[in-house]
Amino acid sequence: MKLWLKVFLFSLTFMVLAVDIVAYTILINGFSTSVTRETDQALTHHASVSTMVSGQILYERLRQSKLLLTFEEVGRVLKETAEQRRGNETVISFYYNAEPISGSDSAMPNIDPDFSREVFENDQPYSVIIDYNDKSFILCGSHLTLEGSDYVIFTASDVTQVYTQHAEQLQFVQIVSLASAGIIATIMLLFIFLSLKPLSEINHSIRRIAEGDYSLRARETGSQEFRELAGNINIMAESIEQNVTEIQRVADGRKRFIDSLAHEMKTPLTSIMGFADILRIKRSVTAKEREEYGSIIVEETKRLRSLSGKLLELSSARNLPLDFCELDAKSFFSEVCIAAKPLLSDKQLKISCRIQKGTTFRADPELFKSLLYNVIENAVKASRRKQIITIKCWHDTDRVFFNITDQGIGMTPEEIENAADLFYTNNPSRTKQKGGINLGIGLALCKEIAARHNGIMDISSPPEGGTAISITLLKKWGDDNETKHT
Amino acid sequence: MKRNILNITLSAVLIFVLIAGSLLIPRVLPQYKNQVTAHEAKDTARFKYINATDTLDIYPWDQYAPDSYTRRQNPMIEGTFLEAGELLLFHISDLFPQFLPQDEDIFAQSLYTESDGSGTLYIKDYSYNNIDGKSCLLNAAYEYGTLIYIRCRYSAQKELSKAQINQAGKALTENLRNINGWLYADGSVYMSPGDEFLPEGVINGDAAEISGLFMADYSLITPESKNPISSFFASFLPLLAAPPEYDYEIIWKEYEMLLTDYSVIYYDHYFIINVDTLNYSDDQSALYIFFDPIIGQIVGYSHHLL
Repeated sequence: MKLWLKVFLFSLTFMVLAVDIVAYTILINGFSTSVTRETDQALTHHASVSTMVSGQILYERLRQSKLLLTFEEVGRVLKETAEQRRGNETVISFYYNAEPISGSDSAMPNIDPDFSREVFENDQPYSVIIDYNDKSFILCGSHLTLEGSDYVIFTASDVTQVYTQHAEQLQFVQIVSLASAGIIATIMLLFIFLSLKPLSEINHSIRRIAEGDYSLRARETGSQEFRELAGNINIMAESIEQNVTEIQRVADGRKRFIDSLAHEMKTPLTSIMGFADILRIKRSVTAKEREEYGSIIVEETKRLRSLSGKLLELSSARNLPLDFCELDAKSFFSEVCIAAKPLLSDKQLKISCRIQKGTTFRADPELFKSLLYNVIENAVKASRRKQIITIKCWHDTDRVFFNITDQGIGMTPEEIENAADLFYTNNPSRTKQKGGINLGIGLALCKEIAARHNGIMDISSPPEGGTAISITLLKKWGDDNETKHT
Repeated sequence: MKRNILNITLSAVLIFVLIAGSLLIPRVLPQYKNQVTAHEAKDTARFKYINATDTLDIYPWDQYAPDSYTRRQNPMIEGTFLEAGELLLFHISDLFPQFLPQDEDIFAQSLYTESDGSGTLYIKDYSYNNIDGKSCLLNAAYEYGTLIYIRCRYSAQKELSKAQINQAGKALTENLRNINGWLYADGSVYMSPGDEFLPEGVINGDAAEISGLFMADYSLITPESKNPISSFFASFLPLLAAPPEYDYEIIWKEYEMLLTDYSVIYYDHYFIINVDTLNYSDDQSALYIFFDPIIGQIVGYSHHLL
């Protein structure tokens, strides 16, 4: 059963019960009060009539100057009294020894035997409400001592109006209760329907997100709870979308890496296998041929070793404990440039090294040297013949800046964004240039080393060409790496 | 589809039950009919305002024949006049002291009787000044050693509105209600064995002295009572019991009164209270007491003994 239908039925039931209980309770109390009041008034009137009769008898006795009136005289006074009351709202009837003495009066309701027996047999007044001739009467009865004799007086007061009014009120309450319950329940139905509408939209959005449409966002409308719910669902969807994108990106990278790695390993292995097979099956190999084939096998083996070394280095950069010490930039770069010299010779490249005087920095010498060597190696690979690789190093109060710029082919924004990813190798021209190896490991390794030094590495490529690698280190930071670079 | 049909059916049934229940509730509501209920007797004002069309001649004035009455100088009757005058003065001083005359001997001179000298002595509309100098009127009747009628009033009578009469009638009824029950005369009485009204300490079968005036619950009422009805009876019953020639037992029986049933009418500036008296001797008697609503006191009575 739909929620709105449940709420509607519950509201309707509750409203009908509430309205009925309240209305009927008020009505019953009011009616009970009315009946009690009418009975009280009838009894008061009954007592008043009894007093009047006593007074009438006394008056008659004094008028006749008698000590006591005879039974017949009392009967005559009672008959006259009953006659005088005819047509009044209250009808009177007198009994002596359970026999009526005031004659029959059609206006007087028939007295129930049980009621009359109670009255005749007991001293206290009694009352009963009865229906007679389509009217309702309160019948009161009590004893009355007149001239030493015991009489019984009955009075009947018309209370039809009270019952008619009560019946009208009941009818009114029925109509009002049903109408008001229906109206209120309908209003509540509309209200609930409108209130729950955002929930339906949210439900629809969740279903679409679950089906894979992570870019969908739920509309934040309705009451605060629904807005919060939609907001949280949007946050969740955004988070899922980011994670999925990241996972996808990593998966793509890995796929590319595996493809490249397979390709890179397959090429030298094919060469090695081919030339080794020639050496194995050829009966006569000249010295020149053996040297040539051997050199190829050695070179290809070097490539494989370089590839495995880079991977091992990356793993070490992540896991090995570092040995930090204060380094002088000038002497440090001298060593780096000397080590990188063999890389420059093939393309006849030059390194321009400009170091601010007195610049020192805190680093693990071997690891940081590896970082710079990799950056320079990449710059070499990206450069054309006879170009210049510029190295700059300077410092301010808190930081030390390194900048290695080449004049090479540069990088696209996409390449810049992904260049430092572990397995990213997009441009074949950058992956392998003249026997150089670039499987996307170099810059990833550099970035990892910079991070271990609590530094950051940026890559930029101006439109006019060339690529600039900037590394910023903090001058002072703890070994526990608690101080973070900002 | 099946579930929708079930839901719709359930909803329809529920709505039908609600509407039917709402319409059927009145059938089970109480109507309070045909239930015989006992009640306490209503304490209503038990007096009747009579717009009298006839003149009421209260005993013994119904037998009064003014044309045949005279004041006789008969030595035998003169003694009776004096005795009646004394008793009248005695009653007024005890019961209605505010109407005591300045000259205490005047009443005997104003009494008259039938020309043959027998029967009842009357004094009618006798005007005199009380000890405060106010003009008063006296009506009285004396018969065989007993004052059977006495009624004092001030000459100037104020007229009361019907509302004032009703208000005074309610107050009077309240006072009557407060002393309803048995009243006992003062004196030595013979208590019968097993008498249910035997006071504490009285031995059955012995003559016993009972002092004061008691109600059914033996609470003492005195002439100083704030209730004018109690005050009146506290003085009135001992007065009736006082004559020494009466047998105490007879006095006891004659003047034991039942105030549980009484009738009151308003007539000629007064409330006339009819008190039912108990008749052990099967004698009929009627006691009417006159209550003046303006001064709030009983100002007379008519005691009819047969």
